[in-house]
Amino acid sequence: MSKNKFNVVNKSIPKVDGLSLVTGQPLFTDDIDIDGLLYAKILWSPYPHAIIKNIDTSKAEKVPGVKAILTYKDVPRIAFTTAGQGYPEPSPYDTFVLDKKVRFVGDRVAAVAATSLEVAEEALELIKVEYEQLEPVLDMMTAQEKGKPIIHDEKEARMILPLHYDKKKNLAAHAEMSDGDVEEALKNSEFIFDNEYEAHYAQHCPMEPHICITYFDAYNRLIIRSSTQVPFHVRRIVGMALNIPVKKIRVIKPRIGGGFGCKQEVLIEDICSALTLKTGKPVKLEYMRKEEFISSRTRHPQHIRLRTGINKDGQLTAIDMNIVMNNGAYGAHALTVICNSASKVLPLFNKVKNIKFYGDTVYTNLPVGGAYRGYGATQAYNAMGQQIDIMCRTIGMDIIKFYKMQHIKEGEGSPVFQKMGEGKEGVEMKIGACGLSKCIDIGVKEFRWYEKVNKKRKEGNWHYGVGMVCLMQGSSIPEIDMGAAFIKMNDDGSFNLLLGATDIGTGSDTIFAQMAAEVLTVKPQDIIVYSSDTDMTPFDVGAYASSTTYLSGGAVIKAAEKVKEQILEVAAQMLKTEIGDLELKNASVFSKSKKKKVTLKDVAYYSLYEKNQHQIAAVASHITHKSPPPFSAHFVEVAVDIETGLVKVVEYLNVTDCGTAINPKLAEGQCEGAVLNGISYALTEEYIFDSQGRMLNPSFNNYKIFSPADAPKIKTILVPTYEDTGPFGAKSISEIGINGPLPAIANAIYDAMGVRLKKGPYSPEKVYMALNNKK
Amino acid sequence: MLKNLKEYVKPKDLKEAITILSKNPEKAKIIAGGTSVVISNNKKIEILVDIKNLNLNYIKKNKNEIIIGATTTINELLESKIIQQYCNGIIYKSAYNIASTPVRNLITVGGNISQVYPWSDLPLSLLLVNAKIKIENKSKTRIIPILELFQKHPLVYLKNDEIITEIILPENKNYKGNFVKFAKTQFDFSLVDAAIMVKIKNKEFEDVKLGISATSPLPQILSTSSNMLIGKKTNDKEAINIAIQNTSKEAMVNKDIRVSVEYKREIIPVLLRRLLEEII
Amino acid sequence: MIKINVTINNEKKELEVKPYEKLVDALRRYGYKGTKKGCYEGTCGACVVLLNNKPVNSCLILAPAVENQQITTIEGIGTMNKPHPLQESIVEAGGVQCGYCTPGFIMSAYALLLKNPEPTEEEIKRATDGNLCRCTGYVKKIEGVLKAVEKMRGGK
Repeated sequence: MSKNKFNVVNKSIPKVDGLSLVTGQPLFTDDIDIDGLLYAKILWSPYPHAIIKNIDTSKAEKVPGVKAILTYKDVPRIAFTTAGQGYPEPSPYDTFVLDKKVRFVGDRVAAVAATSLEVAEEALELIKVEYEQLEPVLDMMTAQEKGKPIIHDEKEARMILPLHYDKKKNLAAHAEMSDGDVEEALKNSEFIFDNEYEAHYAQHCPMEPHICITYFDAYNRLIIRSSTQVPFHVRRIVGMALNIPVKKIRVIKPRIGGGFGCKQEVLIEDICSALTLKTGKPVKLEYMRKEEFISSRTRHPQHIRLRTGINKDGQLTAIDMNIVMNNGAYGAHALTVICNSASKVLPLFNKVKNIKFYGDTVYTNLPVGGAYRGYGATQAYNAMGQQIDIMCRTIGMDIIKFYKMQHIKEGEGSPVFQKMGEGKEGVEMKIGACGLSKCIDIGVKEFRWYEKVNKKRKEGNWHYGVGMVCLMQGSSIPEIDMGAAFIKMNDDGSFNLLLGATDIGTGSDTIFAQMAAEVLTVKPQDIIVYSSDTDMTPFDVGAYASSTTYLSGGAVIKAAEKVKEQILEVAAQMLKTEIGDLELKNASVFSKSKKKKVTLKDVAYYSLYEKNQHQIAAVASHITHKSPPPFSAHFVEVAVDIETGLVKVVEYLNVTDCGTAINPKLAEGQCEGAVLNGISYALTEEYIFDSQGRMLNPSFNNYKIFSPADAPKIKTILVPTYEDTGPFGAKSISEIGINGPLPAIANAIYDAMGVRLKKGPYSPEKVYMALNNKK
Repeated sequence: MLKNLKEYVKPKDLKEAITILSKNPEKAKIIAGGTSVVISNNKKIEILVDIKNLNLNYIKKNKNEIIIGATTTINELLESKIIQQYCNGIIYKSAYNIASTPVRNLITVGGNISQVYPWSDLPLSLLLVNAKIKIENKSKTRIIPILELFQKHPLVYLKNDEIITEIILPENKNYKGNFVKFAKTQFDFSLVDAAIMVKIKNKEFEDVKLGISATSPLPQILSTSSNMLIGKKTNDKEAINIAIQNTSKEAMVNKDIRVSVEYKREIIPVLLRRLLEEII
Repeated sequence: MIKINVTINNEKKELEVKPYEKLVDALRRYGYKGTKKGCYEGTCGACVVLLNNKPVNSCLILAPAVENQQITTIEGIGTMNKPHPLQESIVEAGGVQCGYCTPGFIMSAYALLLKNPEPTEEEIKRATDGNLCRCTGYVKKIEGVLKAVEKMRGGK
């Protein structure tokens, strides 16, 4: 572990946009006024599966103020994927801007642009649609059966990569791998466990719903101003869907009110742009909260059958994970999420020589799954985390000892890394920094784990219990994703840092300022960050796969190093010495031999105005060659009201190794937000459907996330390690936290009450029924 | 959006308010807090009559009764010492968990009992304390027991040009009340509300009212179960048990997309029993 | 359109609004972009402003209703050059991530401190119970408020 002392990195400096945000500056997509803006509204399908036999917009078009109405007849029929992934995307091309078929309640039917929202809404009501209803597919477990209706029967639907895709069976993706001989190993195991778990529908609930404004600028280029995590993918995919060359499109990402994955999607930019193309006018499309629940993206529900073998001494002998995943009506992220269920979970137990993974992602006529923090690992950790608890309790083993014995360690690898990529082949990897054992030890001590577990403590009708789970995630998609950064120097020794990497509220702009400042020995305030503008900033895949620190940070450091080289060259001229004689320190360049210095400001002036004038600037790109996992140990204490089944989280501790925390407070904030999201996912969040696949609770009234009044005590401890391949030793942190609560809370409920819930949310009713059936 | 709203009127007195409502039976509606009407998308409304400036927000004692002006907000109710102390705090407790802080600054008592939703909390406690409602229309002022208001839904009972102006809490001497809201989170619609009003004399139940809401359109008093306790000793565990168990059967419980009817029936007795145990 | 006189952040203003226009939309149209729309139905708190010093959801109020009354928005309690201790402290504590919910949260906390300058953690949670946040888990938001309380106690 490197013991670098940092000047600016690993410090909790305030966010560069913090003061602007708390004083309400107009920074978000909707915070601008545009003359002549039109308002868009979408007509949604009331049926889960139907063909549009006839659509008559004539009455609607006559409403004064209506400027355009689009149906499938008015847009190019080009299949694409909405998934914000690099090209070639490993998701099926099965979506059209508008289609003649609707595939879930909440699917697009038509779009209106009008001079006001009222007019647009009025027009929507006057659009007459004749549907031919088809039988819907609403059960993911039977979606592939013979005789089931085919959801994507259009000829255009296809995978552009040679990946397993069988639309005739409603199969959107498939992945499998195996190592060793699972069946043989199970036969020879002293104990075999075979359980089924489920992960349920949930929505990201960003406080800012999806929103996009499109318009033509004065050079007749299409400008897309959107709350997106993936501006460059938006540019490419909108260009493709609407037959517009990329050079005619500019995507700008303002400040975003949260994404968590649902904005890693080209969700609304296509239809909004289509309306601007039709009208020639600026158009704003913003989702109402109801639409955010139904017609954006969700967590992919999964059904997992997990078979494991274990011997009395705690040695895991075999793991067999079989997943059916529900992608909903379209196939965004169908392959990559299910691959992640294997690739972020199985390697944690790399000592198991016999592993098998089999995953099917199916289409159903239900809301569409997309990227959601955790990205498949969340679902799979529910299964693994609970199974380990079950196994340990059955064989009488201490779960803490189990994890410390089993988990992958520094220098070790796993065949899963190579066999399970995200679409392409995976990348072999040996673990660099791994602080998991330390995380476990610190957590056990801080949480007083042994004082609380197996104690069946009661206080009146409240029964207390504790649970824990260990996790790993990844950092970036190696060999596939790329990020780039550009730095230029200004007169006063400050720098502009332009980069594609997307700050979605995480604070990435801030940590990049810290990184560049560290290399250039200036203060973070001397780095002016501008990000995610496809005209002004170099390419970056965007904010997903826990990439931003590890991948984009690499580009920032490279660019800063190049700029530093140029500074030293100029300084060498100014001081009439060799570069080897120079040291950059405290925003000045020192000549060791001459005992003289020039400030960065001096260097800037000289380079801009005096001699050999040139702009000190550099661009650099970075791809990663491994995906070093952050590790985390989670501990939770719950109280269960035995008479009503109500579960309260008393205390939640997460101890996390993210390598170097570039900004500790921001890193902690990521953990805390992720953990609380996981807690409400475990306890209160759920989609309630009727028999026709209609979501009945698309509102915070009945889809419950926690408010401050519900917030339990959450504590985060960061355990520093040093990842050699990471920027200043950093890995990643933003996703891992959300994967803990679902299994840890289930384990804690078991510790308290002796009942095990394998499917969330662990609502009062579910817990109550489980308690009473047990009796 | 109230797309057809053309006039937002602030009448100078009640008479003017009632007159406007009278003259425009379909098109004019009262607005106080507005938390229901503003998100209602009601296209029939063309005139809104704002009654918040008619000096109807007050809480005062009149002899042994408490008079609450109809446009008193929930937070104003909660800040009142008189309300905090009334009947062991039953009204206070029922108001405490309504919605969230900023919404409690908008919801008015009068609005809450005219717009009764199944999950409304205040109507239950007002029912149990036998509150009286003062209603004014163009010809007269009348005071009715809240039970009369809740025979049908208040929105059906109240004519368009009738305004609730006061809610009167009777003395309920020697009664103790209690209230609990059961929901999954703090800022939530109730799954089941339970409330009780008891009068205990010489360690005996002289009067008992057990009530629930959030299981049907309007709050309910479970009279049969309540009567099983009258005359019984407060330490008669068996009698309490029988009465409490009976509430599960007696309660009318309608479907709720969030939880099953069976579950609600299971926890109704739990909640009521706990309320009793806290008081005895 | 109707004209209404209203005081916003201690400035007398005349707004022209549609009768059915919500206060949040009117405020944003007149440049007060700090007040956000998260749900438009009173369930998330992103639109909280002060009406006569009391926090309310501006998406549940029609603009004509606030005639002759006092509104305080996030822009009214501090600026980038002179932020209110609440604004400063929440940034310092790491309590602002995406920032979308934060103006509403700060207005709720501000209203609390007007009445109760020394709140407990429970009281802060209660006062902000209508402000949903998906980014922070509330930990550092609450810490930020407590920090501000300390600063303001010191007479800063």
